[in-house]
Amino acid sequence: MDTATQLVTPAMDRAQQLRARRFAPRQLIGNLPYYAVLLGWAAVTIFILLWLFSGSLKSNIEIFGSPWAIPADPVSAAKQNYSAAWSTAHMGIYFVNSILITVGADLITVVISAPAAYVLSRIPFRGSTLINYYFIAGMGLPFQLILVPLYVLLVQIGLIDTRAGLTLTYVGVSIPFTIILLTGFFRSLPSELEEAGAVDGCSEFGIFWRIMMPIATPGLFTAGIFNFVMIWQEFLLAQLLLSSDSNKTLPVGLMGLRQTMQYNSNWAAMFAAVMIIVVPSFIVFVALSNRIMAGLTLGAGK
Amino acid sequence: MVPFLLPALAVYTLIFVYPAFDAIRVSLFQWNGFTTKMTYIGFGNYQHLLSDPTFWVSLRNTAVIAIGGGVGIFGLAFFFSAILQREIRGKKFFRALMFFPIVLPGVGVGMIWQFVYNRSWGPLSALLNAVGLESFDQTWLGPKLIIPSLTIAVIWTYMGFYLVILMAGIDKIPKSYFEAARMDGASEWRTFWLVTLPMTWDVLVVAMVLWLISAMKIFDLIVATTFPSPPRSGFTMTIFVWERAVGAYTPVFELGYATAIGVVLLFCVVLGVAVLRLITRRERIEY
Repeated sequence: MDTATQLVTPAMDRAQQLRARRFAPRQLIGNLPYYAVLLGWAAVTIFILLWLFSGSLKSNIEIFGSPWAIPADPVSAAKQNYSAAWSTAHMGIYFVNSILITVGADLITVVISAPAAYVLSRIPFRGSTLINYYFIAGMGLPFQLILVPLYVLLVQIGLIDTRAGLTLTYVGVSIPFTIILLTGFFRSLPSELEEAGAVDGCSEFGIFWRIMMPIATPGLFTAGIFNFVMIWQEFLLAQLLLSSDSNKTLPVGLMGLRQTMQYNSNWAAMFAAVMIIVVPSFIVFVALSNRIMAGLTLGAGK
Repeated sequence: MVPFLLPALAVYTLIFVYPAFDAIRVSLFQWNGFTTKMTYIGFGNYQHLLSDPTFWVSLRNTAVIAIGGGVGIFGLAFFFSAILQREIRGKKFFRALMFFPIVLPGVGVGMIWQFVYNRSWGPLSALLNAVGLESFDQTWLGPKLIIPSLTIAVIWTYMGFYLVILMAGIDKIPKSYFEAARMDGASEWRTFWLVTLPMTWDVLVVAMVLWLISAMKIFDLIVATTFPSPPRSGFTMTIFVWERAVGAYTPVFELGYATAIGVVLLFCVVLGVAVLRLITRRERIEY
């Protein structure tokens, strides 16, 4: 391999950098195979997404035709498909439920996990490590394990088939990850902060609320985004716990729609329904991708 | 201190930990859920499990997805991280695009792949036919190919996630190490083995543990791709639990049995993580 195209390091001085830039065309040629590989992978992903989108703008007849064809009459097909999915298939109702449950569970999770993570990461006490492991253990628990006992539990406390019940469930299962992520974040903050607060005579709660919370906002925000992404797409528990149509979330509704489509073969509306569930995730990602990726390394890379 | 910890501890214990322990109890009973009558059968469910061919198929498929998918994911992730370390335009774009599928709802991803693999109008078969490779066209989601097909979908979904973790690990390596390796005339391949891999080992181990745990829990993607459930030859542990409990077209409601499978799944996760840690510890390179 040509050494001129090898790893460029910050140790290079300015002159070297300038020289490297002058050789840019050569570097470009040296990197061509790599661009080809990257573009190949990117092309698959972009194609899949574009094809999904174009499918939602096609009629059923067109979908069964060539997958490469451009939608013939996108506007009227879109109207038909999206209204079939949104109204006839109740995706509109599911959408509202998904928003309520996701936002509610996410907020509660972050609000109750933040103080716990703060104590676990900043205040040494007996049993702190043990409690930390207790939370971490939740990362390994598969939802399949708790299906039956959880169902029975929610029947007993009268929250089965309610949005509140599912919200509470999501809070419970999101706590382990949120705590791990936030303890990692709190640990990265300088320790002078509490000392200054203690000197000024702040109470424990005062230190947490007035000093730690404001600087912890980026961490809380990252945890919030992560939970949003995870809860928004959760299917198994939602399918188990909700049975009334008016309570269902988008993933459950989408799978239900998949079931009816087996009989009426309205694939075009299926494409539209998949778009409805994918687009919010896409928007969140495009707006916040850097923060999501940074948060990932915060939680897992330590 | 207590008021800080209590709410999170209480909800987590009630919703997640208590049901997990209760699962061990439920797994010792035969129960259809329609009545409160649960028949205690000791380890009957577990004995039944060992003689159930579907269990062994599920276990094998789960292992194939975890190991095969893992090799694909980490192989590609290291490959792409090496490429993205170079002076490449649009680095951030490529990284974000590769990461993107993990953000998509699993049921949506499954649905997309089920469209892609559709033999009558899906793009994969159409592509093979268009370039004259009809003989390679297969029933992608048929009993024979379902697990490889799903593994490809899994790799596409998860690769970018681990790429971002590994890249963060690689970024922490002092640049002078690479510089030194280059000065000594080490090839890229040797640099990878002697610098990148040992220096990112801790991050890699954490990433592999994360992957193993999530690989064994993959459910949405498979259910949505193969709705309502794959052919028996394509069962995984998660699908098996679901199908025995409430998920089949005509549910069987073997709740005790399903829970016993769940307990075994947890056991597999714990065992898998322990084995992985043992292997990675032994091969750890000291310097």
